[in-house]
Amino acid sequence: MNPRNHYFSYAAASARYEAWWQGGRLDRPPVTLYVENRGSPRAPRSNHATLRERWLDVGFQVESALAGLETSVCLGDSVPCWMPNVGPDLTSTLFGAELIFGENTSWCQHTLHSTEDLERFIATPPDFDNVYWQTLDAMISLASDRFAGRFYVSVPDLHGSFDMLAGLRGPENLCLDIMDAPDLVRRASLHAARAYVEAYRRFYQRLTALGQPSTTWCSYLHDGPAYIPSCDFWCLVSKEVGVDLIQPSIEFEMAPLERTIFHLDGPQALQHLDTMLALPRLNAVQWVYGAGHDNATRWLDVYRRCRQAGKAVQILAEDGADALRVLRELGPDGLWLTICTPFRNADRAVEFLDEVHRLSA
Amino acid sequence: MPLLTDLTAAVAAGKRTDTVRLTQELLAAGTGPQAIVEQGLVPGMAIVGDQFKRNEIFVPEMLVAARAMKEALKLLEPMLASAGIKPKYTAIIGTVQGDLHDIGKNLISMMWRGANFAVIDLGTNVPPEKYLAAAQEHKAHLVGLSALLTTTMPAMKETVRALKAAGLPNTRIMIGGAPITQAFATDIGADGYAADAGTAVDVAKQLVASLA
Repeated sequence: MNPRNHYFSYAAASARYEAWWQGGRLDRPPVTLYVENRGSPRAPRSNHATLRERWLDVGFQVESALAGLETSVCLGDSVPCWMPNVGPDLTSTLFGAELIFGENTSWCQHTLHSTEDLERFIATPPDFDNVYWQTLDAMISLASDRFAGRFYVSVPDLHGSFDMLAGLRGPENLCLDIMDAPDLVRRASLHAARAYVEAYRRFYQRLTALGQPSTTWCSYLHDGPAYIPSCDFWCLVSKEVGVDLIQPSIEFEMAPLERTIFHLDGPQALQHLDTMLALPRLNAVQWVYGAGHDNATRWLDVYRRCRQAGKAVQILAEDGADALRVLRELGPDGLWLTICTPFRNADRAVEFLDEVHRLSA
Repeated sequence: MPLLTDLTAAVAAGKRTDTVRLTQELLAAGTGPQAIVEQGLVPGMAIVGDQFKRNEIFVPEMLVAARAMKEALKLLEPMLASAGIKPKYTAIIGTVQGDLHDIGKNLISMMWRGANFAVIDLGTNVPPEKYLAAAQEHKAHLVGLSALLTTTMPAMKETVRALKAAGLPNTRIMIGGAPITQAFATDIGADGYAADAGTAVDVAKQLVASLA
């Protein structure tokens, strides 16, 4: 066994992802996996007085990322890339929201306290020159320079229109607005969707100008605009409200993209699966069943529904055995296997990749 | 009484203007505030909880119903307080330490209020010692712990451990949230688990009924 046979190759991985986007496969499905990593002695230590200072420290974030990437074993189709990140509520900061930083995530303060504020929001242009966007721009510049072609930099995580509105208005208030003033919410969501599209366009153009590939936190590849739209707020509302209010904004967000994979999060969102699968610009589904809801094998019916609708799927398997069970049941076409539990060493990961190859023949 | 039936229907439909008007009419007709709560408002929220459990309504519909009930309670609570009438059971609720998500916790809080529990909401990012202090101070019959993040499930375990270690014989602990399961609840020693806001009322009633 020689792990070098399975080291990441941009050309090979890119071709596998392209076949996957189209619901097929090449030699095998794309596979993203991780090998246990003890970390790097080079990783900088944080001496920051606050979490905010740590999150927004461009040099610290880039050097930490570099140290991690240098000690990672990139096998299969795991793209060796880093996503500059201040949290997905970044899009809410376009309209004046301040981010609050926790250890592993960030969130935003609600700034729209009434429906009058929501009206004002619709008249407000997005501000792409705030501190968070300046910080991300600096991270992209520095990372591209420091990574020097050895590793890639990706488009950040961006909340779509309804999650952006939920961040600005608060999810409960947004629910009440849907009941009290649906037309206002519709107009606000389309304003938010336009800002989201512009945010993506800016990042995509900035990164491609620096020679970076088209990818993001979920690590696909495509030679053109591609992204992972999402709407966590969707799980709070009925099918009817979903179709009437949310679907138009999602379609607007997908329109400029050549490839889309929708992030469908949690069993409560499944009621909207058929609505989502009917979206003509949707290529693929990332179904996140979530901790406590068994493993990928438990959700074969969801994957089958996606495949029957002509959409590719990303399988978030608990471990290698879980992924192989799904592969045996569904066959290799239109599957992308992501193994969430790291392999103990490169040999185990290579054994797994060999088995995926064999089962895909 | 038809007005009470109408009030129940108005709450269930989330019609706050009708809910307030019917409450005023019932008071004017001599119906006591406790009867209005127990025979008009609480059954309305029970309908909402059942519809939510059956996926017939969703969070926005539940929120407008809770808002309608809250408007009626603004009229009734001063009368209930002056008459010395309190809900039979007191519940503490909060989202566990490290977790700032609150919509699930808020929905449960509304539904418990709708079932005529006195609810003390501790907010989000609540450390174990704060749950314990509140449970002791308010002699809570029920403590509800919410978590959305898998990363904060250990905080839920720690909170249950702290509450159990304090030995509160007349307090039951209930947990819930997206990553939570009955198996996890059993594993960490919680007394109850609810998968959704509608079920949370049923489980809460069962738990307080089990108290001596």
